[in-house]
Amino acid sequence: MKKINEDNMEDLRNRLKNMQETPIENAWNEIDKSLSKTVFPFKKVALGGLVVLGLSAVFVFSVPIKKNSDKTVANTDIATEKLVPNNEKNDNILTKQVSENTISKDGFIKSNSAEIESSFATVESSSIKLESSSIGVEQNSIADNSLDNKTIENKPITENKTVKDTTKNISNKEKKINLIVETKENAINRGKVENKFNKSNTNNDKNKIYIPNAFTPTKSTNNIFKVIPNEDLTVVSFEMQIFARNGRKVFSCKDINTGWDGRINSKIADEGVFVVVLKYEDADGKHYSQNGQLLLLR
Amino acid sequence: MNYTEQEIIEGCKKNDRLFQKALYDRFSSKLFVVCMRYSNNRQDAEDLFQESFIKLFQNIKKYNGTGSFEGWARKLFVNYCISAFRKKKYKEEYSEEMLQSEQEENWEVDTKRFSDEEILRAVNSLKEIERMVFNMAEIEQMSYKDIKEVLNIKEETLRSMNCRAKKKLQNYLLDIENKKKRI
Repeated sequence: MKKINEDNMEDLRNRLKNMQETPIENAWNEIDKSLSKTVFPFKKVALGGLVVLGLSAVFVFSVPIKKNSDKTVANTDIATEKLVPNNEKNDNILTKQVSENTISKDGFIKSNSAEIESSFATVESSSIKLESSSIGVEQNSIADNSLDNKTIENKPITENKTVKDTTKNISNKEKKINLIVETKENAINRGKVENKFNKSNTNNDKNKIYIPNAFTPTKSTNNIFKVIPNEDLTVVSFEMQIFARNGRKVFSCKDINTGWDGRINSKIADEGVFVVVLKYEDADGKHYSQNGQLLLLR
Repeated sequence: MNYTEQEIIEGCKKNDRLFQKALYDRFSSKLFVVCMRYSNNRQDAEDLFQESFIKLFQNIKKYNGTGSFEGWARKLFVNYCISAFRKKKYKEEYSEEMLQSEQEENWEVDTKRFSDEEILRAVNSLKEIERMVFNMAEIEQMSYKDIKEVLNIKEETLRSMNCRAKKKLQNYLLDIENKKKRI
């Protein structure tokens, strides 16, 4: 009896050893390709030489490039120099407009708001952005020193720009004009920013069952497809159906703890997409249905 | 163009593409079965096949003419398949139930009644680790000690795995036979 067994085993062994199976035609081409990659390493050497040459060339030419960069720096200096008179011009405009303002006995300057706005526009051109706070400036800023200080204390002021009136036309007293400049960031910070994480959307997910996207029945891990219900959800009745792409029902079960092992008629299915349909009832007696896509990988 | 085996091998050692193609034509179908045996589907087998064939061409200089070339090539393929398996870092815990089921299984099925394709399919249906152990122990006839060193699994477990693999194979083949009878 045992001898027969051994003979049978020997037969199987020989069969498996002498079996022949033609691989796909493309296989040789692939091997050919990768062989031609590995056989000629001197191509790589040549490429490396070229790269070294290129790098050395870059180093050689880098010195004159540096000179150029120096020149550009000089240019920027000129540019800043050009900018400075612009600022001075702006100041001139400001001062001119201030000079046009009439001063009341109390020391307040009554000004045409439109003019000041226009002056702000010019300030904006010199890259300092003035926004909503400019209105505040109209109301409060052009005033006595003492008043200015009060306004500074009351308001959350980030930057103060003092523009001294150098014009002798207004008066002997030096009057300070405080411009409240508020940057954009601070303006945003001042407003209430909504905290997105505070939003509670657990109510929507409470009754949901998570359907995994993919599983691999041929591998050692993740080889069984199971759905995962939410922790708070108690499922009373449950039904899961899995359909293939051609509409054929592949698997169905009524227990939430059982899973699909990827087999159709005791044979592991080919790679592809399947549709999962869940129907279940929770403790309150509400019926839910849910569906999702499932990718079978091999 | 018919070259002798020695001519082909000499040509391959000189990296001649013509001889390499000749060697491929001669041995590909037999060596492909090795890859089929060590994997559970055709795609994986083809990947293994290509990689190990490249390995063969790279290492063909090491073949010194002792023993048949086919045997040498087969061994190289088997070694590559095993190393590829080890690279995957396979880990699966075997419960004690599996160990208890260890019994001396008799091979009662007559394989002559089945076609090559059916036998291959049966081997492919096995679990990955069981297939490895079955291939190494039964087909390559490696000793359990060697397999233990390669796979790092206890000898007892290996034996029981081999038994289970054989049992499953027989069941699979019998299933096929039953289905045939019904038709």
